[in-house]
Amino acid sequence: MPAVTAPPAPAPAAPSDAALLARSAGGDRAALDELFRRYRAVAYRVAYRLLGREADALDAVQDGFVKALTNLDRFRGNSSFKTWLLRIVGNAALDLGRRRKREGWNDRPREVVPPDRPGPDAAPPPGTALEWADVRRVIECALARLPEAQRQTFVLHVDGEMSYREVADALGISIGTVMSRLFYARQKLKTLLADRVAL
Amino acid sequence: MTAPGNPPDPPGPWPDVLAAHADGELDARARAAVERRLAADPVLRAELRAQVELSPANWRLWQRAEPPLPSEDAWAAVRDNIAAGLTTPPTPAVRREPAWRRRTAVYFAGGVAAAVAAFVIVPLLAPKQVVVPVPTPFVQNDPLAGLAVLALAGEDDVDVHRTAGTGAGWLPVGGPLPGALVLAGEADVDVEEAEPHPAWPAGGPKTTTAPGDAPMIFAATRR
Repeated sequence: MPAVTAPPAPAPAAPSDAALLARSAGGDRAALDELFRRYRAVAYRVAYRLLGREADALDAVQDGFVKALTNLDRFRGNSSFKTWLLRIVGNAALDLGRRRKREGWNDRPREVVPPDRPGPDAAPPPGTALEWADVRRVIECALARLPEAQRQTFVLHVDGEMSYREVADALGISIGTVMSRLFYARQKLKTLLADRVAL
Repeated sequence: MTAPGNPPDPPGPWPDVLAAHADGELDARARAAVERRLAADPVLRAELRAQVELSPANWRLWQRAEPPLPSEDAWAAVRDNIAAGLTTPPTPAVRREPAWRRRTAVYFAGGVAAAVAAFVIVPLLAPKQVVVPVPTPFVQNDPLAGLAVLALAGEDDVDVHRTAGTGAGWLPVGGPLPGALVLAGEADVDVEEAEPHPAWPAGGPKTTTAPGDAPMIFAATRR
């Protein structure tokens, strides 16, 4: 008769955000590190799409985390911590973008048209493959041409992987407004990108 | 109005609703209403297919053009800065007041100085006379009474009228009078939704259309 072996012990459940927030507020550095590790990528993706520069995006992530954690009394747990964090990171990114604009930091390319590539209104010649970095820049340029409210809504939904309801909660707007902003944002992006890249 | 037997109205303008349907974001009731309309309307079905293609879930290129990932050293620096930012008491930022607020402060200070001059200096210079109290103007039916309103412009600055082309409803806007203060144009203000009103189409007025018009923004906070 084969020996009965005990099933492997289940891996301990990951602590909830609420538990990590409570521990972090008490000065537990490990809890803070875990929160950061959990949300750093999505926060960075949102900030990068709004700013288009790695260094600026990291600044916005840092600023957003600090503000989100120091203003937890205003969070009140009405939405998820991710929603709260991405709202603040998004606002920090938009603030930083405006500051950069005022300071004349216009080194972010508005249109990337390498000399051997087609202009903004021409279709790429057959067989021409844009490098991924170029594609990313084309996307950034198209995003930069959206009105700020549409851009933030779109980026939170697509890159922040938030549902319409979560975006509405994060921005303090109605679901109808989210629907409207996303509809117009994607129509404009489709127009802006159609001639440059195949979606 | 929905005729008996017909599906209910959509929860918003059709293009927006179809886009939300393509994203799988409608609740069960709205989804059922949309699917009933889709079954009966081939034009809407074609529009839905277009929206499905536009759904970010199908933007393979977007997903592959992910932002470049920072190095682990960069992440560690951000993490350490966050920890430091949480332990260091925040330094109060020195904020420069907006220009309009600075101007308001200057005008206010000037007004106070003029008032002081009027009450202190003028009586010393002028002969004594009987002062007849002037009654404060009383405005009846002030629609903004009870609301905290930021006074940006008065009736001498703005010609208040209604926009056309907002469906069955209207939107009050203020057109700056010649030579008067320019408040905001369509590049500055994005009015996307107003409070629901039976006279407005679903979603309310989206924006003003007349160049130079400035949407009227009313405070929603009670005094």
